[in-house]
Amino acid sequence: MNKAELNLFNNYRSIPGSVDEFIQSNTLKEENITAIVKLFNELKLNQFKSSHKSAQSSFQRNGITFTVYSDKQSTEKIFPFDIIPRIIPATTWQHLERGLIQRITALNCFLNDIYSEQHILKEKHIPRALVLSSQGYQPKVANRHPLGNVYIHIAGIDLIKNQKGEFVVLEDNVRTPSGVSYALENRLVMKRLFPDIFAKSNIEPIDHYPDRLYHALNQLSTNQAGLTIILTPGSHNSAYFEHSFLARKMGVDLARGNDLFVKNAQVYLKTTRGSQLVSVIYRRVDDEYLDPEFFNKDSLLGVPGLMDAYLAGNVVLANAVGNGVADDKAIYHYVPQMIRFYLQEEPILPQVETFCCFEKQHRQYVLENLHNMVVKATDGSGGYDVLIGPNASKIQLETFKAMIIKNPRRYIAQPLIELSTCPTYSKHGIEPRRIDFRPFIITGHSSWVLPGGLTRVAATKESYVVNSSQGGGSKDTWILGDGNDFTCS
Amino acid sequence: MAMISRAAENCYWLARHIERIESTVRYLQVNQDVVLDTNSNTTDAWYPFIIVAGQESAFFKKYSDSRRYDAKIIQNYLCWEKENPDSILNAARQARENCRIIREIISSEIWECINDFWLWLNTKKCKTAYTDDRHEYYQKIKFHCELLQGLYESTLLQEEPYYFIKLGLMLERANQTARIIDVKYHRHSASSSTERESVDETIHWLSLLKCCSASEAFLKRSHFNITRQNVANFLILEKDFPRTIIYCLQKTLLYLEKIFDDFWNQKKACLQLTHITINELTAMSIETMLSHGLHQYITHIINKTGEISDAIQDDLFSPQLAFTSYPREQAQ
Repeated sequence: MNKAELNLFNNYRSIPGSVDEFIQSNTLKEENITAIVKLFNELKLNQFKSSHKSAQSSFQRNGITFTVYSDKQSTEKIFPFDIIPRIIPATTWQHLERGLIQRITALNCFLNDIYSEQHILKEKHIPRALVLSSQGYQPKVANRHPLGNVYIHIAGIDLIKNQKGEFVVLEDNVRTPSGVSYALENRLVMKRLFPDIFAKSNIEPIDHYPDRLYHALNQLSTNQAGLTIILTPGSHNSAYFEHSFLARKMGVDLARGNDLFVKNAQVYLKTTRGSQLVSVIYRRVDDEYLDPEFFNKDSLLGVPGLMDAYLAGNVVLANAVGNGVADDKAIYHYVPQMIRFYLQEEPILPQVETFCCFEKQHRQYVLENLHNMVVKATDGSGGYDVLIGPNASKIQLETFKAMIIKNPRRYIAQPLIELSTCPTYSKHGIEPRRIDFRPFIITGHSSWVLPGGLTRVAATKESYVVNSSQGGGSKDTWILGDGNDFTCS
Repeated sequence: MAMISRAAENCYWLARHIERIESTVRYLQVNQDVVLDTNSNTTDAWYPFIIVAGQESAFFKKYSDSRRYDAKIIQNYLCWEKENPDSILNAARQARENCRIIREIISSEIWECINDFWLWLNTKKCKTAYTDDRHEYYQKIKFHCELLQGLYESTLLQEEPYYFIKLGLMLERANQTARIIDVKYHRHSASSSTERESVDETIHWLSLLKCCSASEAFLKRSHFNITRQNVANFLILEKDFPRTIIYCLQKTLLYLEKIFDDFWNQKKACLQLTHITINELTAMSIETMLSHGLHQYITHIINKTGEISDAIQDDLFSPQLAFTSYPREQAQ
């Protein structure tokens, strides 16, 4: 693209060493992206500013928020939203779709195997001690497979684009991945702000996600007469907006633990018309807080007896119990082995080279190269418990060194990847920001990938961290439709 | 259609808080006019509102006794005070929180209206309106409350969430009307011997009607015969006006019946209590009430609405509700 023609992106400079989604789209044939970028570029910065403002106020008025905890106070914040979309062309998307379904299929096979015969451990493809020591491993659910043998009903797989411009898997989330509500709300706002660009761009719709989810979960249920509900920890949970959003869009009740009770291994909802049978629960509560009788006798949360109903096959719990073993950051290293072992296929999507401090040789390497690596706790999330070697102080490096030596199972390390960047609106005009991508995969009788997802954006030009808890925001993600129906080129 | 019992409680309280805000705003606005029109020394112009709001002890925990005459402090206490759970700011916070918890149950229009109201209350613009243009501040709050009442009617399915909202609204309104009638009792007015004093008396009674948005309706019925007896009779016993005590209690009963309908075979305490209270009211003439002392009678009504409120809590929302006593355990 000739920079001299640029209007909105006139002074835009990408970050050296990173692939930019808009400027350097040279690795793939991406004419459609260029055409959409041109449409945006016809906008003046002022127009853009007012669109940005209008988006902000729309989010605030709609109460599209998440909760941040600091000390004792909790505050509702708007999820910062950027109105320049990230665009993925059809061919790239088809490749991603195949890769994601392959990965979820393998992870689901892994869970079925780990909670029964454990072939993969017997044949020594993954160290037994590593799996059995995982925080998410729940030996109590062994040999009791969930309905339809589906463990991972809803997955959010985090992807990044590396320096070569190819998508690689950074992390699997197969317990309670969040963010889909923001993806759907972002799309609504974008359609309102840029109807003309939409009309010209053949973008895959995403509005049918709640419908797909509802039907996938109900396919697996053995009792069609029962209710489908969403189980939330409560209105103080940081993702409460999403729980409430999904309940609204799926047309189902949003319950807390004490709105439910169990009798004769059946789950009931306490309503103003007496108790009503529940057959599907999309739970946004961690395993440990599901059932105090089963997991944690001291817990006041959860529904006593819920696990009885689940293990008797009377209720679909999505996601299933015990999935944590599959998205453990140390076990992530072995997902390519799972794909080869269970599916006899080569992995379609590459993943980031990972060193498990659990293994002696890896640990040695990590300790010697800490200043060049990103270290993560295997049970951490939300961008907490992360060390970014090149940016870390001496004290931070020493602290992590000590923690790794003390508890090697808990840490993994990866080389620092230059995330791709995307033009993003800021106070200083349009600037590059690092981004990642979380597509969502729903599995009932078969798997389906939402043609869209959540593109997360780092807060500052320098930052590599995109988590909302660290000030990160999001963008709408446009998956371009197949075929050559782009009307503007 | 059934709904989660806890969510029903959110609906009920959402409406109660909003109704409480509207009532507070209306009497503050009306009283502002009264103070300017009458020669009642301002010593007891505002304090009665603290009494009828049931806030006496809380108020004096925060302020010294002499503050009872401080118009500014009292108005601030009723609008903004953090330690007054019923201050407009706090009631709005609670209404919004109740609403946020049940966004999947109420309409998005209701949520947006309440959220909008809450966001506005927290703007600088709103604070400036309070200090510089009090009328505008009151109008804007009333506008949101009235808009919400319209949205209850025009955006909800007429089923349980709606019934619980209307139940909360009607019970709160019955209670607020009773409290407003009682304001007069707490003003230290001598008997109306001079002409000026009797003018003041008229202004006071008219103001009570205005507090209930009832002055125009009253005038249509009573042809400027603004006496204590007529005003009390109207505000307590007029069956055709939507803010009178009898009207609100009859609607309370109606929505309770809709909620229970034929599903619950045993008689519930809240239903019976409402029945009894309505019968008591209709059995007595206004002359008899006045002969007992209006204040005594109003106090009796306020206590009764409190008992109904407690009974609703026990019958419908109590977390200890034994679900074994539910008449059936069947999927629908």
